[in-house]
Amino acid sequence: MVKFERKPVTDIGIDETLNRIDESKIKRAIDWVLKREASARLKSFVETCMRCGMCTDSCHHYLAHEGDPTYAPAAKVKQTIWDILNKKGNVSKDEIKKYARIAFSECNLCRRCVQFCPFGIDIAYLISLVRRICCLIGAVPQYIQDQALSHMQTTNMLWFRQDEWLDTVQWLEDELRAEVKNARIPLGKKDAEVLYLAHGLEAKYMTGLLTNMAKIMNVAKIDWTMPDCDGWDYTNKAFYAQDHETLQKVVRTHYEVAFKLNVKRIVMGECGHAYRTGIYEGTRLMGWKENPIPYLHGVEFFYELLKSGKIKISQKIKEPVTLQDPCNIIRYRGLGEKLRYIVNTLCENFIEMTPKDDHNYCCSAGGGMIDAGPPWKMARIEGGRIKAEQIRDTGAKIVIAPCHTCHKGIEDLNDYYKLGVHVKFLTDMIAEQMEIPEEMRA
Amino acid sequence: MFNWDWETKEKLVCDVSEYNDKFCLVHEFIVSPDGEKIAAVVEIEDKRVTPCINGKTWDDTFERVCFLRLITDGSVACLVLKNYEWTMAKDEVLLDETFDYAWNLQFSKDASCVAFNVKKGDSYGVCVNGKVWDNLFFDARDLFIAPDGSKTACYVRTKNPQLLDIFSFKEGVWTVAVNGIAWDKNFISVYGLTFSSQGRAAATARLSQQEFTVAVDGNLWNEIFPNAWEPVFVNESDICVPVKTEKGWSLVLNGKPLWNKYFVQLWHQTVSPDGKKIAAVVSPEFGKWTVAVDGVAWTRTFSQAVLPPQFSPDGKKVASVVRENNLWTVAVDGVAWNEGFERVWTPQFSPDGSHIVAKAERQGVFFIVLDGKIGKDVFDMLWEPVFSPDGEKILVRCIKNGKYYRKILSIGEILR
Repeated sequence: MVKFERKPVTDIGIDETLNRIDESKIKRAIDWVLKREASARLKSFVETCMRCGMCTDSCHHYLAHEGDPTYAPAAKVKQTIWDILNKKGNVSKDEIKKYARIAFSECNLCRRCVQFCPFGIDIAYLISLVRRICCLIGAVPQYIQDQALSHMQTTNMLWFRQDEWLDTVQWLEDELRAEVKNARIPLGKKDAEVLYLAHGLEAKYMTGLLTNMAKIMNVAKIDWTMPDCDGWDYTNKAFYAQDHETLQKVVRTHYEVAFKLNVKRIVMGECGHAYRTGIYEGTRLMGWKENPIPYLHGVEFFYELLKSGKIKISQKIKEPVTLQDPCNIIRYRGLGEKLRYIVNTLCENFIEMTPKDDHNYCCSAGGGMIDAGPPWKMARIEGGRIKAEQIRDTGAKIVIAPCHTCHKGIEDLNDYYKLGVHVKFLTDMIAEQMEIPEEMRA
Repeated sequence: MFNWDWETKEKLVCDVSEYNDKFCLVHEFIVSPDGEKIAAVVEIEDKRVTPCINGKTWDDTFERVCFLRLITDGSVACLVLKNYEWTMAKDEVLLDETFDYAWNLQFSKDASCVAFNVKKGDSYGVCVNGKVWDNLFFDARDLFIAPDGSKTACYVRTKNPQLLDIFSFKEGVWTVAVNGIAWDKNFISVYGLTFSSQGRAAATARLSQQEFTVAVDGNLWNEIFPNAWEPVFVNESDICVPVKTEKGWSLVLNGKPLWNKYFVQLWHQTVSPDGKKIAAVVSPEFGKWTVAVDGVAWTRTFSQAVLPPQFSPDGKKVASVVRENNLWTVAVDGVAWNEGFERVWTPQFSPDGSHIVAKAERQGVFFIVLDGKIGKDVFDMLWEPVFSPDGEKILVRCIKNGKYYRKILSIGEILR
């Protein structure tokens, strides 16, 4: 057996929590998850796995660590949930620390491995169970825990006060007026067709992205609004901690705001995990098999706008461009074709990565790894070497990443591996490349 | 409502089609409950805005006008930004006090209380009838007004740990403040705040990851649940709340089981006007949604959505807006209307419960649906129809061909 060897990393969310808790809390958390929450899937997966190793080469962490078998998907399961099962839940604080490290920093829940398993075993689900146990113990990376704590009350990821949200949107509207005549960002408008939800970061650090979405909405003449209350932030970082209680509250808030405003549908921007929670994992936890109302990812919305002619592109990008397929919207949800329609509309020289589409590699930032913050940055940078090589091999100068997590993750890979690329959101590209009718110009 | 004009058959209140020529930009219209007024924020010139009510603008203009409200006593109120300071304007009169920010303007049904959230410096609270709470907080979110207007409340943050100080946040920094007085216990989260008719306050308090209970005027129930949604007062002494149990979601009363039925999901419990029945949105089976009355679910289920149930005034009937096959409709006592729509708004029962009316939309036009039958008229814009106190007539507030009308139609006239 190869030894599990890692560089020491300190994360007070895990280490300090474990110092503070009574060890009996571990057994209680495990019993709760295994006896009350884990479905028949756990039993069937554990009993079905033949240890064939077909999943091994599918994982970017395994490949990036020169074939260290402790990074293989099945090995990560063996070293965590199977270990817990074998020990009947009688595990130590040190073991929880190891499980947390594997679950939060060595698996992106990207589900690439599922496609290579002859039995379709959902390893992401098994790792999620480990995270859930850690969550109930409280042993969650500090940066993720902080965001989940914020979501619990504010439903946004960054402790934003209500006035901060409203004030920000109002000055963004003022800024947009410099470019688009009479531009509006309606807040709390009842009976609009579209309720647009934003990424928390777009209200603070990436306001240009929100302005660009508002610009697109105005030029396309969409009858839209954003919330004038909590529920405007589509992110759901509780998902990373598998904090189901908060996760459900956040998803429910989004739909309740939509019902209250009587909109026809919800549109969100470019994000993977929020789509995963808002469309399937979060809704299903609450009992919805179908979505109560349509909830569109930015890719689906932009596809509609371009296909219908509501937005026309005036100039295409000539530089070589490649595309990151975010796992949560492509592998999980099949938006690859629509995404490629948009990319081909915007770019003349589109070069696919290899592999691509639903077999694309994770950016190594997803599933909460980037949200786990500075302590775990090198873990994702190391795991991202495969993505960096994929990008370099295309020779592209621009990487389109229609997901906040992929976007930031690839920016970090770009810096570390010196790829020399620019990472772009579709929102920014469309806002920059679309036709603005003369009468709408300020 | 009893003093409303139920006799004038049709009144052209305002030709709003002229607005587009008169103003640079017109924000969304709102109408008064009695239909006598239509208002919108209008832009006189770039970034100079003011309210416009029935075609008449206020004399003063502002950098911003938000939360425009037509109050039940006939007054018009809004929050305005003037000279880069926020305040409230009511019937063109501005409060003397200004704020760094003001939002969420609300009023009680009897209009005795007009309140909004405020920021002053780095502190947060509520301004009630022109007077700011004596105590302000690190944050104050949302706003609740007691039915009689005697109390206001918010979720407030009483401690201010540094970002990333997760251990302090886990000890709880949030609580409820009523009239500016914070409860003496903090929680990691508190939500679902509601007032009884006599001003008692209740909310769901989250004590830890999986410890949820109900706090009533700051006092916690003894019972703890692994999850809970929002509480509702059944009467002055009884509170019910959906909680998660080992068997599923169920309803408890004052912490003890009320419904011996368990569901995949349960929320939006609603008490009948006489306080004798409780209806709630439930999911009896994964992917299936319906309404349960006193724990008994309708046989008919819906796959996409069921919105909060509405009792008829006599408490005998229950209706909900429901969604299936991507169409909205209304279900009454478990029977769905035959017609489906792109959108349906909250329905209203007639006072004797014999009729139910709703606003609906198809292909960009709006109409009235009465007892499941589509009304003869179509409208460019329509607000929810309202029954007269005797149930004989319906108030229709609508825009047709650019003109805002207030109409009083008999039930027969809606469908004829």
